[in-house]
Amino acid sequence: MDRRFVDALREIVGLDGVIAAADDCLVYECDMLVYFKGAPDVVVLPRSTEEVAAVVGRCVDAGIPIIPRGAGTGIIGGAMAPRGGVMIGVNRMDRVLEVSLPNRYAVVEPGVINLALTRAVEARGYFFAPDPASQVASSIGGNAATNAGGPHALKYGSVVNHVLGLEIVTGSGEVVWLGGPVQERPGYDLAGVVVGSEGTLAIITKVVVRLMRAAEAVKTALATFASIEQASGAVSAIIAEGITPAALEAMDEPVIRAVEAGLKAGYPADAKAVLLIELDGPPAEVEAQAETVARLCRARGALTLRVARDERERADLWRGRKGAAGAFGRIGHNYVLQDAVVPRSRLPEIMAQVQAIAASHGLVVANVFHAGDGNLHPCIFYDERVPGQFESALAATEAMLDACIAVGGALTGEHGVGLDKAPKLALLFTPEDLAAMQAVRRVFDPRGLMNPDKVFPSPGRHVKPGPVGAHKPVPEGMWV
Amino acid sequence: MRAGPADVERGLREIVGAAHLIAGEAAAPFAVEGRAPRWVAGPGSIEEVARCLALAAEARLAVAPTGRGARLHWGNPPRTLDLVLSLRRLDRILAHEPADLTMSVEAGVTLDAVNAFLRPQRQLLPLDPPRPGDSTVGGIVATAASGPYRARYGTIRDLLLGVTVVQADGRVVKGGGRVVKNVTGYDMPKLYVGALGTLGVVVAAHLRLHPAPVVEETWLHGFPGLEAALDAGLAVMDAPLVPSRIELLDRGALAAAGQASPPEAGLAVTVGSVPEAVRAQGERVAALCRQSGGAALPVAAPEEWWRGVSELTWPPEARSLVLRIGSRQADVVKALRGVEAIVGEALRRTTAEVANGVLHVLAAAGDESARLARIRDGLAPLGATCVVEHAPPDVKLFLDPWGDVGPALDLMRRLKGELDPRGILNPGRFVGGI
Repeated sequence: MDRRFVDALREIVGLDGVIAAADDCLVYECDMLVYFKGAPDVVVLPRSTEEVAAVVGRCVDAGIPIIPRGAGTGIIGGAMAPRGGVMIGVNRMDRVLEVSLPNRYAVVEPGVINLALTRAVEARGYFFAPDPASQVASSIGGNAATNAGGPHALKYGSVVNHVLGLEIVTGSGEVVWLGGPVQERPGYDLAGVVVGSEGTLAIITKVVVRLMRAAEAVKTALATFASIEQASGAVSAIIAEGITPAALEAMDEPVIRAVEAGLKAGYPADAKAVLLIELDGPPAEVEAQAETVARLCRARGALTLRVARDERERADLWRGRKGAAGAFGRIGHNYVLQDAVVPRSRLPEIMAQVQAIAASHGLVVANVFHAGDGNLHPCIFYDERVPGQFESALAATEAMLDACIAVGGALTGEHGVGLDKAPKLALLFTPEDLAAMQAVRRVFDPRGLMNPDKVFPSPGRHVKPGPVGAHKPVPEGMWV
Repeated sequence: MRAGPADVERGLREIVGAAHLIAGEAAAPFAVEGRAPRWVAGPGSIEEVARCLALAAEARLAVAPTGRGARLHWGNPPRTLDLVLSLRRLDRILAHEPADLTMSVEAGVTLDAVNAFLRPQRQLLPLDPPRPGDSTVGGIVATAASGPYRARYGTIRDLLLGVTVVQADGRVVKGGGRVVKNVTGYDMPKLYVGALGTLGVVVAAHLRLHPAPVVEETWLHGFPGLEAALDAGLAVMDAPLVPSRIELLDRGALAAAGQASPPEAGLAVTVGSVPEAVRAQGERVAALCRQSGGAALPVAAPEEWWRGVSELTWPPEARSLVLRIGSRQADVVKALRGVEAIVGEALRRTTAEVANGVLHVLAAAGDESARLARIRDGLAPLGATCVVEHAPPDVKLFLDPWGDVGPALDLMRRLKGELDPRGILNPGRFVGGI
């Protein structure tokens, strides 16, 4: 990269805000999807919207790709630079600018960590509802860019349902506010489409988020089953009954064993499947729903049903769920993780198919997922030292995706498209559907410099997944 | 070469059939804000809508899509109008998956029809804008019409999982999907919500449903002043309760809703849950209202009462002005006081959704262009928005019903240019003359 260009970036963000040494840029060569790699030529760490706009302006003038990055906890090959360019990390923009509880909103910079916002308001009885399992590390800007989900998305919705407004820097370098604290406003809902656009339209520089009032009562229970299909049947029955739990999570046997071996969350190690069921709301409602849920679980063959008696037991049950992916290292050497969605009434049949597909490839699959909204995360294990296993794992995970789409599902429920699934978008959308999306892109990013190669397939630029490289343990902080 | 009027008419008749095409003088009653179309076409299928729009694009016709016309008076009068495209024949429920709590409908299905269909299965599409019998799903998407249920359930934005859209060039595209959680590609359905049909014609929608609560109850309290009623409303919001609606009514609204000798203000709160939880929350609501000086008032038949309340500011007479004001929740009374100071005696009644900061103000029509500018100036420091939902047609010609949407207007114009490059869909009707 041209030296004068890098110097110009230093003038904008200061000497300590530019990382230009090739070795140092390697840290940014991937997100948590480690088999797609591409280091940026330079990383800049601005402290303000003005600095972001100035950096984008420079890149636009020079025709250099711009790759926004939050905490880098994504698992789609999103915050990485397959064709180099300037990565803009928003980590130093981490202030909570305003909190208004009577008006139920907060204005935050994009680098604010998800959980930090809830921590800032929970003493007053409020919370930020989206809770991706990465919430201890992921940034709200990244959450908004990917329209992140999480266990509680079942009742409270994904990030898009909690974003009231955005300040953005477009791919032309313009700073624009879309929406804001006032909910009722005329005009196109541009914030609604920027959320989830994975940095291909703009960089988010401020977020106005909705804050929710915490429920008065919470009840968390763990039900065990003899098979994941049975557990899935219970999930479908609960939803069909008209109960929307705050969260309804499923884990199968390999996950349970790994979690117990590592985290000792108190899951029965002999169970073939567990459901983690959380109900929240007014106490009498939670009580009534808990009885119904217990009845439905038993009718669907639950072996045991245990309700957390206090906050510590509740935290334990959740610790197992949120740490599940981190325990994957105990199951296998390497893995590929899928994120797909099916109509929730189709869960039992799709879980049977997932098992069958893994078996037909001779691979182990572990499932830990947001069952209540039909959002699967089958995780297929392989050993990259065994020739052909990596390819086999990829083939299995694609077959699972195809199965989900065949029953009316979607390509991704909460992780996003990124580089990983860009070539597969055509499975769900026609060229005309995609052309409409591209039209939107031209509005915000006329030169196509924002996070290129992500979301949409780039003809002739299909990046092939490579092996992980030297043996790496599964990253400790891996979340799904 | 462009098709002449005779060719257009022949083409439209071929597509929709003679029985579903109205031309010439007979189309006059279908005027949009005083502008009569040359044709009214009633396509009977998505494919017919697509063919009509392809023909319109070819002939550069200005098209106004409509459902049952409940909100056809919103927005600017059309700059030009050739073809009214009525979607009322697209009234099929395409699919309902009770176990998934999702459904797919054509755009011309009314909200009442959807909920009548769902009621026996104890599910609902939880939207309560005025005139549900004339509000089609397509129209609700286009106008983002909502009501006090927004406090708990959000708006159509939160319920719309996917759309099928006929673009301005007649091509059929879809966005979103049918599942309740989905981040595949851009969230295109968001763009059509509240776009007044200017970006494409929504012909089918996939919707998220909610379970119907076992019981729903409403409590109304009277207060000596608006501020006291708002305090109670904010206290309800600050408590760990789950209200479905929190509506503030001024004296005029209470009187119009049938309250004999109404107090200065009222606060109506709805809660839906199991009976035990409804009763317990009702007691808390009552206690919070009493703390702010409230006294319980009777509400006989809540569902009918709410339908009545939703129409209190629906344009009942030609010479009226209806404003929809968006403010922060804690500012609703400040916003109302500001309007009151300018409108004075002409103010008839106001309702306000406390949980969402949405006010509807009905006033006798006057010298709008001057009054409206002063109202908007007064609201500006609150960051509040002010949309004119209704004004007499002669008055409306001289005002901007939307108000200034700020610097994002440039992006909005570019979006319109990309998705409707010939500008045939509802030209001039939307914000900034889009």
